[in-house]
Amino acid sequence: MTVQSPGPVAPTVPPSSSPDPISLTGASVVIAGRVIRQFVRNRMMLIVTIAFPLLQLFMLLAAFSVLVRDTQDVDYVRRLAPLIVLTTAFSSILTTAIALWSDIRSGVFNRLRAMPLDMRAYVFGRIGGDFVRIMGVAVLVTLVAHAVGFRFSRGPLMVLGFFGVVALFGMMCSALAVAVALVAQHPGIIVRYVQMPTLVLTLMSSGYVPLEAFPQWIRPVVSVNPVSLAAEALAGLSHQGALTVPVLGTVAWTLGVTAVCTVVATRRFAMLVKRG
Amino acid sequence: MTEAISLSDLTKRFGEQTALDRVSLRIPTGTVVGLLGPNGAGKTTLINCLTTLLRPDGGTIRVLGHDPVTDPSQVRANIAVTGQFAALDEQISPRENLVFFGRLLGLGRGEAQQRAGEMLERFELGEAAYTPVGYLSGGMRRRLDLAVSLVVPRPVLVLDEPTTGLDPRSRKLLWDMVRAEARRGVAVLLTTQYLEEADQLADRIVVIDKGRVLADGSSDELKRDVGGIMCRLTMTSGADAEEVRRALGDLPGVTTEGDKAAVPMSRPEDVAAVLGRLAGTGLRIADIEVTKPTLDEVFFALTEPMEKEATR
Amino acid sequence: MTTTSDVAAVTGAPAPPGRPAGWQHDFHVLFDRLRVRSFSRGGLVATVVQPLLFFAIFYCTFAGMLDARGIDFGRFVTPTVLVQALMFVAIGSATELAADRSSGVFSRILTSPVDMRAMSLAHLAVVALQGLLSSVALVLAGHLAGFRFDNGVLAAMGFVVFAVAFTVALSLATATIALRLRNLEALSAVLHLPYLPLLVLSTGFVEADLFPGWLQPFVEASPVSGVIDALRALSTAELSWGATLPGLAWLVGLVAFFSWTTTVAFRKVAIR
Repeated sequence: MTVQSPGPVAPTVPPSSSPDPISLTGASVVIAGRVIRQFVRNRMMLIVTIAFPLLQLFMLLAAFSVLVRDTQDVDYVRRLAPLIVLTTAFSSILTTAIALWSDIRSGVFNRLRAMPLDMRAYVFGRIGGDFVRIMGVAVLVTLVAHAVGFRFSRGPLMVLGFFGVVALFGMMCSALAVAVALVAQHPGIIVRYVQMPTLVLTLMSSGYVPLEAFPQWIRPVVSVNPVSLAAEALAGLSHQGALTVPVLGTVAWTLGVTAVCTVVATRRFAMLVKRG
Repeated sequence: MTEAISLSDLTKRFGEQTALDRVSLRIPTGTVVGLLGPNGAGKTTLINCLTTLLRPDGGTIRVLGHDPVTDPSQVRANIAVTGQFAALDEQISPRENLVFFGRLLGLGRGEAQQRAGEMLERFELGEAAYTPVGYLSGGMRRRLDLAVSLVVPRPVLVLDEPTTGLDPRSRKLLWDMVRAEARRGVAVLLTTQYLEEADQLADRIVVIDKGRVLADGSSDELKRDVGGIMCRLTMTSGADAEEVRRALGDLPGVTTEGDKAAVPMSRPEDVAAVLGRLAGTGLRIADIEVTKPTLDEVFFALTEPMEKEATR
Repeated sequence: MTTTSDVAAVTGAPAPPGRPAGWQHDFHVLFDRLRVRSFSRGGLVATVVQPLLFFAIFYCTFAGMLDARGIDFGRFVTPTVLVQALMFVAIGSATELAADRSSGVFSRILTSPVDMRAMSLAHLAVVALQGLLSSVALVLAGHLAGFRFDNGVLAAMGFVVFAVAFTVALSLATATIALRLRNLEALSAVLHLPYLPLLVLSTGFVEADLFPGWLQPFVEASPVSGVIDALRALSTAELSWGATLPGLAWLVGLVAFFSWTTTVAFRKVAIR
């Protein structure tokens, strides 16, 4: 390639190894910042993640509150609002997994790997960014639900507990997303293996419909469903209901799923690194 | 020789932007024309107009006498097109793709099967004949894409950057194929970014940029037009790039890079002037060569001035 | 090199062989490709397995509550689950169409001498076939939960024809969107967003009078309510013109309107 007359001015600073490599926390924050920025910039994503839960809340309330009240004697919004919060966390599995997958395949991941960077920062940043997003939507949905009759009636400590359970559930979803993204061969597989199972888990939980409305034989399955447990815990923390079993159940699910996902993800990651 | 493709004053605008500005072009049967130009020059727009995918805003197009605007189906019956990206059904195998498109082009079921077999062999795709296209390598997909275009022979072949991403072996295969088609009387229009490809393959090269035709002729003609001769100088090592530029930079069409300079000239005697320029400086010549310009140099000489004009 | 034409074609351009054999031939070839796809494993999961799964889920969640109100789930909800399945068929067909556009297969077909009507007809015919598959699967599943055809063979056939026609109407709507939107991500969002409100805010799961007062007129006038009510009338309830007419009117209106929008969108894509 030839250049016509004055060529590019040579940089005056001689190249050197960069001063100090960025710390794990610093790098995690930078990457989390990127995740949040990607989310905020993508108007479609914003609409889908924020409008969809709210739409769901109003629609289901309009359609089913009378039926549920008449047959189950339950104020539907108290059940529905926590469940909608959980579904937003669930839906983040899909978006996170796909974003992560395209990072790995597009070369962003390899570029980061070639930098003086602790790669755990990537995972922490990803999960951290998602966490901020999930909690943001959770707060928003709760506020809106407040307008249509949802109430916290057990004091500020229980409110903290409420969002603590949401955080636990969100963490489980992030762990799943990372593992799925590392295992999947193409994005179609992610959609196929995430969308249906999460939808089935949500519908077959005691969230939309109380446990008593299910046929007898399927109740044991419905009651150990992580969505049921988390929804029950949230209902208990916000208004009334059992606490010990649902909260401990949610903790157990989170720890179990996160442990399995960490093992899977670490293995797959090592494989990716070996393959180059 | 009859005219297979003729464009005259073809114009296409996208809003404010003029993608094609009165482009005229003629391709007789049995010739290969290479359409050369930087990214965004309007190559793909031209091809889309020609292949009935885009309606031009002005000018006329004739493909074997048919107008893509008023008589698209006649045009479609005569052309084979390979776009910039492999246009294949990813869920089915190469063989099924060939049979599907073959049948769409009017072959009977048995005939399509037979042609598919031939094309698989010709494009060295036999091993992958039954693997879904989604699992094939980039090069294989590209070859299959071309095979699909040729599954039913057409008198006009249009290829949009056909060798992008191909390994040398596949590229050779494609070149041989294009030459064979041309020998059979097929008119070929191909766009490319590889100057070597145009030099090797095309009977005529058309250089376009910013939607305008800048040059049209054989490789040799273009080289002659740009500056009949190129004088290449290399200074002794240690020569200062700045000094070289100062000494020669204001000669028309000169390019310098480090201790090297290339000066276009119309007569060999002009070398004396160059040497005169250097006499008063501290520069010493290590090597001097007087040759025809390469196609790369033609390309830069033709497209660069406009590129600068439009710098954003 | 090529076999047959090679010897003869050294001089002059090869004559275009295989002249277009009429739109029936084109239709046949295009239909075959899509039909094979819809009978593949992924295709059958979407048209048969998924609707059955939803049927089971809705049975578990709703049957108890509806029973408490004296409503028979099988008879009441089977048409609703069917309409949902048909919505998914329409969404799926639009996604396939968009995939063909982004892969370039669509352009390749457009630059071939293929009859344009055959392209549209093949698309719609496959949609109809998938709608038929879903209908048969759900009618059989519904039978287990108490769904019956009470009004004779003619009404039962009417039920299926109505369902298939509704699939075609919906797929015309989704095809318009798929032809207009280039971005696959945006397309998926636009296609999936309206389906849930349309389905939930209808008489599909609960009667209109259980909705809040201000919503009831919308629920009653909704096209989905009209179609579901018509399907119910054709199967179990009393078959009367009053019950089927709104659905029928919606159906005719939707087909007419979206045929027009699809034609316009298709023309725009085919020749820009």
